[in-house]
Amino acid sequence: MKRLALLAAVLAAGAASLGAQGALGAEEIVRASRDRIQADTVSSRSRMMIVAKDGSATERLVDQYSLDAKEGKRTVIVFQKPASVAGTRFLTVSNPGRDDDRWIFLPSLAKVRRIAGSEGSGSFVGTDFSYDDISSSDREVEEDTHAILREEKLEGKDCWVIESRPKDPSFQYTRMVHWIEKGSCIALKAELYDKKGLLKLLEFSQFKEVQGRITPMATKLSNLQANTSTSIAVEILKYDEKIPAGVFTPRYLETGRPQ
Amino acid sequence: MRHLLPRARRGPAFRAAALALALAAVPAAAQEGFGFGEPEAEAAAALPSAGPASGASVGGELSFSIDAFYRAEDEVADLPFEGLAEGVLEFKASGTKVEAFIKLKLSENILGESPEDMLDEAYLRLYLGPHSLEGGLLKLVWGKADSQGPLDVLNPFDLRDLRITETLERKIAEPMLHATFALGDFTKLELAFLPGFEGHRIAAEGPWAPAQVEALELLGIDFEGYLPDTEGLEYAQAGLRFTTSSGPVDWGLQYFYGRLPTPAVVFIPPVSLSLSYDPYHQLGLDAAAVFAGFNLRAEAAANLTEDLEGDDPEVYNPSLLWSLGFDRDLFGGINLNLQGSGSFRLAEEGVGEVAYDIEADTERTRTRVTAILSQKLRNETIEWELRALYGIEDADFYLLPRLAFDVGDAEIEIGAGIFGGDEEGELGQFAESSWARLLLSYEF
Repeated sequence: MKRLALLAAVLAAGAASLGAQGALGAEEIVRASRDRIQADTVSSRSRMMIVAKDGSATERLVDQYSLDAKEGKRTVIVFQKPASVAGTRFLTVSNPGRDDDRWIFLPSLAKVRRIAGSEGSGSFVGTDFSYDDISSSDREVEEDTHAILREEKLEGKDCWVIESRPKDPSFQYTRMVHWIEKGSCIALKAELYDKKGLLKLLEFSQFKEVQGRITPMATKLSNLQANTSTSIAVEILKYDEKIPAGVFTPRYLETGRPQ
Repeated sequence: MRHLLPRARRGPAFRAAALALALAAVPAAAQEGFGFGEPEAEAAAALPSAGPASGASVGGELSFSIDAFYRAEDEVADLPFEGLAEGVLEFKASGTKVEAFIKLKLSENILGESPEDMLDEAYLRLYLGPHSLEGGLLKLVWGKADSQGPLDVLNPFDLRDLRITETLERKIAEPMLHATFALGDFTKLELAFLPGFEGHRIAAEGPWAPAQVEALELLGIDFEGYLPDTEGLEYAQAGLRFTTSSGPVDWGLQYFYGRLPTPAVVFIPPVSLSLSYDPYHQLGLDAAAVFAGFNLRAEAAANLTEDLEGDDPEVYNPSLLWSLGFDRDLFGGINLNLQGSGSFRLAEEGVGEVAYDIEADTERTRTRVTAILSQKLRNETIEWELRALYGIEDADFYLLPRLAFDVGDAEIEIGAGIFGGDEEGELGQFAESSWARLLLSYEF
């Protein structure tokens, strides 16, 4: 799933586990980190706090529902607050073999529009997250080359420090460095670099076991060049909860009600 | 400003207000369990068994604007200024298999001059399994075009203030029944029935009165007095619309029978005047797809009036209508939205055989291009937009630059509207009504 994808996926990226790993290469560690949380459905409500350069903050409340169906993944994102964006809903349907289908419902247009994915480096609805950041846990491991830079402690936890360099030179980051805890394979921190140097710092915290899956309930992404940040606090998270099929349809985007 | 077509059906404003308040006060019954509900229900939603998403909510918007109009002959000190506070109140309630929505518009102009316009929308939506039925004063959008495509036929437009350019804001809610039948996840059939008809609302005087209407007024002809009574079965309208998705393409077909919203004005000097709204059948199709990052949209329609031969001077000829557009992110988050739309008159041979033919001395084609360039900056807290409308045949235009800043959840906007080109053109005639605006607004 790309771009207009899971907020929860950002969190999942910080919650992988290898179990009993032996001597692993960097690629296996990254793969295990990204693949750990398996669920047929994910439902979440998150509060996003966007802090501007002058310290002023704006808040967004976002619901997200995702379904890992046989035909492909389907994700719905619903903006609940503030009032200026409330009722905005996105639907993404993954299609094996061709581009994802995406639709958006904007209350100001009162209709569902098919849309293309925005530029990967573009801001995700005004946050510091780019669309690439949002879909980072779905990024194919093969899209980057990985290397273990070193091993060190972070907040008292033994970590691998792994550098990932995109094979596609047009990707928005020139390199990404992840701190992944040994044993659990939970990603604790990431530094994202562009041509100018360190661009973003991604930090995961408040780990909590949710239905047997260790999940970071707080994520903070700081844009160090713009001196802004976006924090995501997960208020509600449910794995494998039954979600009516009608949620993943354009009809739901129009009415906000599964039928 | 005097307005055309004030309608008795809207009823007294206080009834709407009372209904809205009553609606807000009623605790809604539980809705079928799914999701986290309204934000106010967050605490309950945190429970594992939570799911019922129901209740009543109140929202709205308050805005204050100061507008200045530019007139070439005026000294700066004499330029007209206008300050206007407007409020919008929305009441929404949801219960088992039902939702209710009321939207009220409040401003000095509405309360003082046209209180019947206070009730902007009011409807019920019933959920019947995968299907739904809506009834009330509704604004519905049909078609794929971003603005005023030829298939968007259910609601007339309020053209009494051309500073309003958003399609939905321009629409006048109409009483109608609207049924939606789900035929799969991505396929549906819609049926709309409107028991009455209302034409576009046009200003009879003031800065937004078209030249033709002003000319009649100058002759002492009361335009409104000639408008037909459009209540009754004779003016009932209905439409059927089928939409689906086939792979990467969304497409639809529709049929509509109704009345053209622009009146046929037959004027034989000195004082013989008749106005009518022509019945017509519309057959239309539309499609939307994404290709190479372009969001493509297209509509085509045939409007078949009762003058198929084109020889009735008092009835509009049949015509073909089209709309073609796309939007795409260019670079640095700049988005370009481009749409062309127009019409082509059929049965042209009979046009203009008599001097009072309503289509005499008018262009056979009508083409308009709308381009919108926009960019959001600083976490979408700053947005600029340049919107341009250009009439090909009239060679006239309407430019709308806009710059908006978020201040927390509020917004400050400065903008302008500049008309130009042929002074007899549909847009160019309003050159003396170019305007600039400062707007403060807050949605809650």
